[in-house]
Formats: sequence, C-alpha cells, structure tokens
Amino acid sequence: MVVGVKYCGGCNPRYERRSAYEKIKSELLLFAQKGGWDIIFEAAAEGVTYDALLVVCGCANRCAAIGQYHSRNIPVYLWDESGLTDAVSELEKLVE
Amino acid sequence: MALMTGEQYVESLRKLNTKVYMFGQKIDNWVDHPIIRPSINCVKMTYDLAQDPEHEDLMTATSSLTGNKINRFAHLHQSTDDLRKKVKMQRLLGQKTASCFQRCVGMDAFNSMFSTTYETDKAHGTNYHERFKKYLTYVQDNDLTVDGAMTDPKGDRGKSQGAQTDPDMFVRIVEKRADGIVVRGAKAHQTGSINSHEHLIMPTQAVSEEDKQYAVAFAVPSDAEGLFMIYGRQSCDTRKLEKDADVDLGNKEFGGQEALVVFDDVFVPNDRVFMCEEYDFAGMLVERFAGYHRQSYGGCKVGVGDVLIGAAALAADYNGANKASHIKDKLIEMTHLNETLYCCGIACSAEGYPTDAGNYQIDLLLANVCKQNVTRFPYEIVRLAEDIAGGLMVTMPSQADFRSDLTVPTKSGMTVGQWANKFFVGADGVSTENRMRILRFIENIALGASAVGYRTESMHGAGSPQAQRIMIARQGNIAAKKELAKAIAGIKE
Ligand SMILES: Cc1cc2nc3c(=O)[nH]c(=O)nc-3n(C[C@H](O)[C@H](O)[C@H](O)COP(=O)(O)OP(=O)(O)OC[C@H]3O[C@@H](n4cnc5c(N)ncnc54)[C@H](O)[C@@H]3O)c2cc1C
Repeated sequence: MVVGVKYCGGCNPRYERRSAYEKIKSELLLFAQKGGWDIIFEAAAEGVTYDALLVVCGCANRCAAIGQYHSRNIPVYLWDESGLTDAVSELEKLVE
Repeated sequence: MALMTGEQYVESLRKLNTKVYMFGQKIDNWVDHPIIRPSINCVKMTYDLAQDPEHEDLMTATSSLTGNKINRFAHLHQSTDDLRKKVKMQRLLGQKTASCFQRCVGMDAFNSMFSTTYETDKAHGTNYHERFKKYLTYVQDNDLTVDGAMTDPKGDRGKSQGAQTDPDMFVRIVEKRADGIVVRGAKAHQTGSINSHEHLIMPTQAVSEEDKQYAVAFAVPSDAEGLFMIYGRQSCDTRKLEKDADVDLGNKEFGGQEALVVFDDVFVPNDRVFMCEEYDFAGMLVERFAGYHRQSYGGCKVGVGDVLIGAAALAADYNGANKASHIKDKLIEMTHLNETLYCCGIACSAEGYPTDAGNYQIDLLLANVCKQNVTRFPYEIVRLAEDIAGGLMVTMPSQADFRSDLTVPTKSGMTVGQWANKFFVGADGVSTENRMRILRFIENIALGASAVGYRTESMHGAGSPQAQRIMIARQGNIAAKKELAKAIAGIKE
C-alpha cells in the first residue's frame, strides 16, 4: 500500500506534527511487517493515485488543500495528538 | 522555471547590477555584505519553505493565470481561503525569521494592481490589465521577488504633490514618449528593495486632475538605468561588522531591510506602464494596496510575536522566575494580545469578497481595525517581554567580555570572562551564554535592529495610525448604529 503524506502549512501547530507522523509511520511499518504486507509512505504528489492519503494538520481547522491529490480511499486526518491511535487504526484497516 | 530554491534566489541577486550605497560608499558585493545579508536570508526563507513538504501547502498556490504551481507571494487570491492562507503563511515566516521577510509588499501590490487596472480599463478604454497580466505571468514563471513601492518622500505634508517646492517629492512622469514614459522622484522606506528583482511602483495618495503627472504606476527591474538605492541604517547595525559577531546580535541569521529608492529619469517601456495620468484611479489603488497590507500585519507581526513570547518565557526560566504567578499571567497577556492580532488578520480575510477582476479583496473595515491594533499591541507585548527579561538585556557586557581570557590583576586572578560568567549566572543548570543569548534576542526586537520591523513598522508601515482611523470612520457607519439605538430606546423622529 502506498500512502501519500500531506502536511498543512504549519502556521500555528498545536503539537509536533513531524514526530506524530513518524510515530504513525513506525507503527504502520511494524504492523505491515508482522502481517507480511508492503507499505510505503511518500510525500503526496499530484498525478499519482494513492491507496491512502494521510493529512497531517496542526490544528482542528485542517486547512490543508487536498483537492489536487487522488486516493482510492477517503483521506485519514490527524489534527491533534489524541487522534494518533485512531489514525493508526484507520490506516491499519486499509493495509489489511 | 517553476519555483526557485533559496540558493538559486541568492545567486539570481548576484546577476543583477543593482546600485547600492551605504555609509557614503557604493557597495558592489552587497549580497555578501554582513549588514545586508541577514535581510537576504529572510527572503531566502520564502523560497526554502516553498520546497518543504511540511510548509508548501501555505507557501505555494496554483496560478490563476497559468495553472502552474507558484510561490504564494506571486499569487492572485482566488477565494477567502487564499486570503486566510496568506495570513497563515506570513505568521509562519515571522516564526521562522523573527524579522520582516519583505516579500509581502509585492504580493499586496500585485493584487491591488490586478483589480485596479481592470476597473481603469473599463472606465478609460486603456489596456493596462492585459499588460499587467503579462507582467505578473513573467513574475510568477520566474519566481521573482518584487518590491511593492508606494511611499514617496512627500516633503511638506501640508501640501499636495504639485504644490511642493521641489516637484520631485512624489514620483512623477517627466516625459511621455511613443514607446514609454520617463519617471523621476523617489520612494522612501522601501522594504526589501535591494533584495528584489523588480520594483512595482504605485502612487502614495489620491491625485487631483491638476497633479495628474503624479498618477503613475509601473514596473522596472531593480537594476534599471537611472535607479539606485541608499540603504537605511538600523539601530545597532554596525554590531554586524564586529569580529565573530554572534551573541550580541540577538538574531545572527535574519533581519529586515529598508532603503531609499531613487529614480533619476528612468525610462519605462509601455508594456510595463499600468497607470499613466488616470488620476481618478490613484485613490482606488492606494486604498486597495493599503487594505491588503493592513491585513498582512495580522500575520507577520504575530509570527514574530510568537518567537518573542517564547523568548520571554525562556528568559523567565533562565532567571528562575518562571513559577511566579505574575510572570505566567504576563505570558498569558502577551499571548492574548498576539492572538487578537491574528484574529483580526483572519477575520478580514474570511470576510473578503471578489473584485470585478475576479481576485479577492479583504474586508476593508476589519483590515483597518487589524492594523490599528498592530500600531499598539506589539508595543505592549514587547513591554511585557522587557519586564520579564530584566534590566540585564540592556546592561550586560559584550560577547567578547564573556569570552575574554584577559586576567584581571586582583586577588582572585580570574579573567574578565570568568568574572562576567560568575556574576551573570541565572537559574541552576542554565548556561550563562544561553541566558545572554535570549536576553540579546529580546534586546534586538525591543530596541535593536529588529525593532525597526517589530515596533516602528508596526506603527507606520501600511500607513500611520491616523490613516486607519480615517478608514474606520468612513466604514464604521455611525448613522446605522444611531438607528439601532433609536429602535431599542423607542425613539421615533
Ligand atoms: C519599517 C518601515 C517599512 C516600510 N516599508 C514600506 C514599503 O515596503 N513600501 C512602502 O511603500 N512604504 C513603506 N513604509 C512606509 C510607510 O507606509 C510610511 O512610513 C507611512 O505611510 C507614514 O509615512 P511617513 O513615514 O512619511 O510619516 P508621515 O506621513 O510624516 O507621518 C508622521 C505623522 O504625521 C501625520 N501626518 C502626515 N501627514 C499628515 C497630514 N497631511 N495631515 C495630518 N497629519 C499628517 C501622520 O498621521 C503621523 O502621525 C515603511 C515604513 C516603515 C517605518
């Protein structure tokens, strides 16, 4: 599974977006390894169709523009640290 | 070329033959000059962040002219969402540089020029709008930095343009030729002018029919024949020339820049002329530019404020005063004031509207309220930072003293550096150097080189406070408010 990663611009993030993303990534890599699946994370690019889009936003406003990206599934959003577990489990469901 | 990298931007400046004077000398290698370079680093940040996946959502946009991905600083706002993202981008850049990053004057000039040329053409049958679109496409395609230049030297403030003793106090047309115009005059206080590839010139104020030669808008390359700049000096600027300057600068990497830009009979070809004596549209251009620029300050100054609040909190930690309830309360107050400015920036964006030309304009009343608050709140924020920092921010010895190994011939036999480090230690476990660094940072913003951007620019940039009050009076609709009061109070007249 290929996950396109999109950040909001980060003008006033209420948590450390990068480390939250790294956490999600490492949990998903571990999960995929155990299940024998492949999972790749890459910066979202236009013109590519992803299996999933992970949108890492700094606050609840979630202003990141994603209309220009293509994903086979509805995007998974993260906008505060408490949403980390949910984001991981949503992505895990997609890997399976 | 789509987007330039920061390095490519710096290299592109070297290719220009921009004529710069400072301290009475011509500066040939201004790109590497220690006083100028920090301001170039600030503009460079607008290019660097556009390449960074963590920030490109704010830093880039899709061009309405070409469909290409461009730097947001060259974008025509297509929605209220674009207006909000502009403010967010500016906050981000303020956070990353703690300085004025200079590129927004150009963006504000593009947007006001785009809509004004459209309406001028409709009234006068001119073709400025198409010319301007062609020019802006060139700017976007080459990812250029452009100085939006409005403020004239103005001479006697009590007199109109044409009534000045010296007619050059406002930029004017001195000759009209078949292929273009010749302009003379100057623009004062020009932010980032030296770091810009191009200059986009607008009138300072409304123009009457008898002064119509002053109703002129045009673009020129920064190294045009007859154009030169005299660098504006800043408080403590020569600290940047000191050997190994670092701690004493407070902000070694970044800074702002203003200059006087002189036009000593500069020729402008027709395809770069966007207003030529249409005096009835000078006021519209000024008002729209000022509106956008008053919105801008609800982003950039907030970003700088974020860093200053962080610095004040660190100073409290390093001084060992961080647990005091009044310190915590002062940090809350600083945050409240800072976020109030942001609220204004976001509000005037959210309430924006499409112009006849299609790009979006901010809400004028709210933008003027935004800037009016900016003329006050940064002063209060910085006052609180000075309170928290303590007097040492202005009385401490230099970096050279802290590092000195010169022995002081007294009983202890300690060096100057040892004495300085002994007596300026703060909370346990905090290095004296870190304490000095944060205090110097606050000094730099409060009364050093960065006070230009954080204080006086907050006061006068985009117009002095009274200019906003005039707009607030015009837009405030007191008559309607009186009717509201009458209705509730049961007054029938
Ligand atoms: C750091 C900084 C950066 C700037 N960057 C830019 C830039 O990039 N581009 C640009 O175009 N401009 C820029 N400006 C200029 C800014 O817009 C002007 O400073 C502002 O419009 C005020 O003009 P002034 O400085 O000439 O002050 P003045 O106009 O002399 O104002 C001084 C005082 O006199 C009052 N006053 C002036 N004229 C009158 C009058 N006729 N009637 C009554 N009261 C009057 C004012 O209200 C004010 O209180 C910048 C300014 C600063 C300080």
